[in-house]
Amino acid sequence: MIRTLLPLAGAAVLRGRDARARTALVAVAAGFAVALLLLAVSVPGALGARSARQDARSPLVVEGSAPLRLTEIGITTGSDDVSGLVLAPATGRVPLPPGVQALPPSGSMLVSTALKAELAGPDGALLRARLPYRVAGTIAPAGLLGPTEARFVAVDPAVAGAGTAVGVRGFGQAVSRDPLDPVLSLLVVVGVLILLVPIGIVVAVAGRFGAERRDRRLAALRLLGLSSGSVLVLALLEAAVAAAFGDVVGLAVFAAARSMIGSFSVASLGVFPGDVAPTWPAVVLVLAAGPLLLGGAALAGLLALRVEPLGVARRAGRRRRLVWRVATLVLAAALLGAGTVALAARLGLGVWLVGSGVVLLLGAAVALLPWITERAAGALAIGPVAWQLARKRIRHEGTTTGRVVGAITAVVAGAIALQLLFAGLAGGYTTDTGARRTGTLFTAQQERGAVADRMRALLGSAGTPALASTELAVHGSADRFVSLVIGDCRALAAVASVPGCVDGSVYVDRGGDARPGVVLDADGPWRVPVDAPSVSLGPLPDGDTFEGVVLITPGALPTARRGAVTVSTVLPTSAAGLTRIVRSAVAIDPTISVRSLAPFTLAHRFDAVRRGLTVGLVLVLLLIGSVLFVSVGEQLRERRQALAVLAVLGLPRRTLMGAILAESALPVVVGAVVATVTGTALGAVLLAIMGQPAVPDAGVVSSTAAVALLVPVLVTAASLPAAARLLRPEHLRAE
Amino acid sequence: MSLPRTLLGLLDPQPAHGYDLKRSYDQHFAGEKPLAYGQVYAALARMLSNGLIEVAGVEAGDGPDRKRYAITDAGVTELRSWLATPEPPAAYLQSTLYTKIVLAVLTGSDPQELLDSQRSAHLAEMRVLTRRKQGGDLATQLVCDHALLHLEADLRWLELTAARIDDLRQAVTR
Amino acid sequence: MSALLEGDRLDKSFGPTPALRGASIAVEAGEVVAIVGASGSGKSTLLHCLAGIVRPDAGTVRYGDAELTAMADGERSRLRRSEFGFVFQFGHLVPELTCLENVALPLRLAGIRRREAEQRALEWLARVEVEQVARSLPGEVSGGQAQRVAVARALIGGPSVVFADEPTGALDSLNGERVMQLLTAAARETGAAVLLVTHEARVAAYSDREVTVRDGVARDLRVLA
Repeated sequence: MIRTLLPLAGAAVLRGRDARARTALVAVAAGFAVALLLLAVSVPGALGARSARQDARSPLVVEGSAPLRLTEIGITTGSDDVSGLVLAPATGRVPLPPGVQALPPSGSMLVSTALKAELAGPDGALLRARLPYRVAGTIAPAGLLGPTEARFVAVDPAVAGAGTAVGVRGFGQAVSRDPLDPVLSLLVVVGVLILLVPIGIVVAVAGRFGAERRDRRLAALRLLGLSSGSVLVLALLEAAVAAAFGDVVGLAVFAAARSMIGSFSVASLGVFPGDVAPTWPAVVLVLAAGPLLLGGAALAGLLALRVEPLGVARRAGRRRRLVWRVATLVLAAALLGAGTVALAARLGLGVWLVGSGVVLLLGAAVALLPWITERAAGALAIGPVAWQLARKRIRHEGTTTGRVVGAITAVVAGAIALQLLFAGLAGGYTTDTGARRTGTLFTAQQERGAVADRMRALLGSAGTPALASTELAVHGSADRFVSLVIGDCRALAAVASVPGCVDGSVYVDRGGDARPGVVLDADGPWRVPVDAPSVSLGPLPDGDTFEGVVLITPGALPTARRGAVTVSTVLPTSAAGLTRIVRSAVAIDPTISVRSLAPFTLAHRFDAVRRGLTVGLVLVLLLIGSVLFVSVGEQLRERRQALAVLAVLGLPRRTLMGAILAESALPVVVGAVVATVTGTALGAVLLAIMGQPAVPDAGVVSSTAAVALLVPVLVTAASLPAAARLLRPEHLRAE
Repeated sequence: MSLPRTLLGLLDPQPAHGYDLKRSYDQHFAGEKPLAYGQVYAALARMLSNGLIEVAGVEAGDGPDRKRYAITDAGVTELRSWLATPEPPAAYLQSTLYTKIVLAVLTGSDPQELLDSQRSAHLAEMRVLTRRKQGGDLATQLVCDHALLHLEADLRWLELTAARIDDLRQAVTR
Repeated sequence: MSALLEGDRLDKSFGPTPALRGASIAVEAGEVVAIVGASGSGKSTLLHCLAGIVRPDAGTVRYGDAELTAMADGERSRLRRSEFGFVFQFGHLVPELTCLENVALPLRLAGIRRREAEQRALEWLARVEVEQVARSLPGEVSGGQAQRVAVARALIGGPSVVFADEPTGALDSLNGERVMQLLTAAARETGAAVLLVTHEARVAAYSDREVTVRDGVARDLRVLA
């Protein structure tokens, strides 16, 4: 039987221009959904691949003699992170980090493609100063977390003796890390769902295109002796054939997105196309989802019908009931509530609860839309003739336009929610740095002594006070330490109130073991003067804070020669000769860290997400727009005769056009209201889940709603010329 | 139908014997009922005396069959003017059928029975015509269609009457 | 001799409107029966009941030894597939299939291979004089051609009964007559009975006998006798 039905289904889907156009739309809509799902199910794999490469390049540190000594260096310029290794190979077999075939000669480095571009770019001067190595080659992808990672591997024997250098016997250390942040998973899940729900609705609406023709076809087949069961099978097969095209489109879109994903970086979290590889079960599941969804839509449509040999009858009792719509809403609220609680307890289940809550909430909004539209049409009883005509149709037919507007409502509600969410989260993430001023932070760590003093002198000479910090053990104890912050009076005055400071003064910010009179281990026991005045130390320029610290001027510095000291200062990024200072500092200490500081770093990770979201929104809206265009055209053609009769009766064309416009406009207006309310509520709930205050941004809300709801208005306006052509009385004659 | 004028028409292309005329008539117009010789010769005689035809030649032998007839100028004129004159549309008011139905209503018998049996009779006749039509040439088909359409018109009227039989009953019994 | 297809005291109402009120009819194998009557008399409903498309509210439809009115949808569908053929006013051709595929469809549904089915369909199209539209879609052919295709489709499976509901209703007289000639000729040749609903006496004249339906009551002289 299937062998006979399959060609029938194929013919139904592919014969004729209309059928092909319908199938193409369904395929594109379903394809988007498939591609989106494929990307979503690739996320865990991509993150896993990243982690695996991160593990593979973690050095295996050993004490004592080692074939290789290295130091890890991080540089931040602007908003870009650069990281890398400076190696000092000993003789013998030297372990190589991943992605490196052979070590470059001394004084040169291998760089990633991204870093190469940055070195050559406008902000490259500082980087070139910090990395005074010749570029000798590139690092293979195996040594990079992602294609946009800026990384280097340099060889400089000078670092061998630097304070931060460690001995390494190889690479490949499993680093334990937290499981994916539930909040991040929630973002991914909710984002995907919010795009999927409207696509699902669009697919369902598109699946109903040509229903009239399908009804005729199925009735004809029933007459020929196809049982009602076989007719269902046929409808499912038709859906499956269309969905198969959707799968093909989806795979193509996925492949295209995958190849482009290398150049698209989320929070410098670029992924290699090769990493975006969903597991086979996931692919099969996703590819099966399209046919299931379309088949389900077809089945739902057919179960409401009785396909008889003489035609198709609608099953009775299709009143719009408010009850289950409200029930859906309540259930959605309950799921969101439960999910919030579960997430607060850091349960993975919470993500799924919230996810289903989001889907149900959007679904309830879409389901409420026709109900509200009908009531609104019923309530607004007065108005011009055009309005009266439109009202009648909305109340009695519940237009396809209404269904498509439902999809738009879901998109807009979701988009509003996500925009609010990211706006809120961005606010949360920007206050993170703790830095108190803008500039470039220099931090050098080395053994105390002449080098440290030279560094402090160099940095201090730039006109900005330099602070050093170190730790000394409490005398007679192996595991109790006291922090020391070292700087001249000018430098100390920048971070604390130090009255009467002269070189040789000592101050104490009490806390822990930091108190006057405590004896510390320098080269010998050194007592903090009992009369050292108490002060209160604010955060250091790099945002570091201390609980209990001894502030000390160089004159009072005990002559400790062992142990690390951290020297840091912040220079204005615009300072003249910044690159010269960097170069000098690197000459003193090749391991010095250079970081751009800003009190508020822009949360660029969400910038990328928001850009992606906007692109997705536009794509989905375009898709919906084309579906709407086709459905309006189809509706007008179906109503051709009725419209012609009105035209013959002498109804002015303007009135008819007005009626057609109003018919779309009412669902659009109702949709705007519903979308705004739902989206704002959803955004607030999601923000609350993330622990952010919910402050609806009226600008974000209204602009998103306006842009999206422009789609049906424009589409309807675009169909008006076609309507005008249909309104001629000559269409009165039947085909 | 006017037999003399039909014969005039058959004589128009070329002169013919009486026997040829009868055969030709039977072929084109007679349907199931062939023309009797007597009718042909009576008509020919009448037309001869009216000057519409003339004897174009007599062959050796005896009897009317030996004469060949030809159309005269007066005959041609008569034929042309007849062809050009429209037939008066026949309106069969007060047909027998109508009379029967009214009487059926008046006498209290069931007019529907009458209509049904009449319909059956009509259909039976139409079936015969349809069968003949399917076997016949174009001329036969055209003749049969003419008859069929008239019978169909009768039936339509029967149906119309059947639908309004109650109105009719009120009208005639008032 | 028992009838091939028999409707016994059929009742059928659509809402409050009765369409059939105890209509009875019997059709012998191979005969062409016209169901005639005024519009709205219930003649189409009678045909639909006899074909198992519409289930009567009361009364029985018997086909041979089987009782259609007691059958489930699946069984009735199978009967339509294997024993019945249909020619309706608007063809009821599947719009997405070519005329050839439409004619071949009953054979395909009966499990016959595509090549053979289409070969036989082509022969049938030639028989009803429309082999030139074999590759056209129903939307691309004239009404008369579509009805001929429908006739071929109705008869290709060798049905016992062909149900024709106003088969010439959408055609001009000449096309209508031709379709009727082809239908009745082919039916007589294959031995199929034809049940013909029409309001045109000239179409009904292609039958062997007529059954008049008035106000939902069929007056089958044979059943009454």
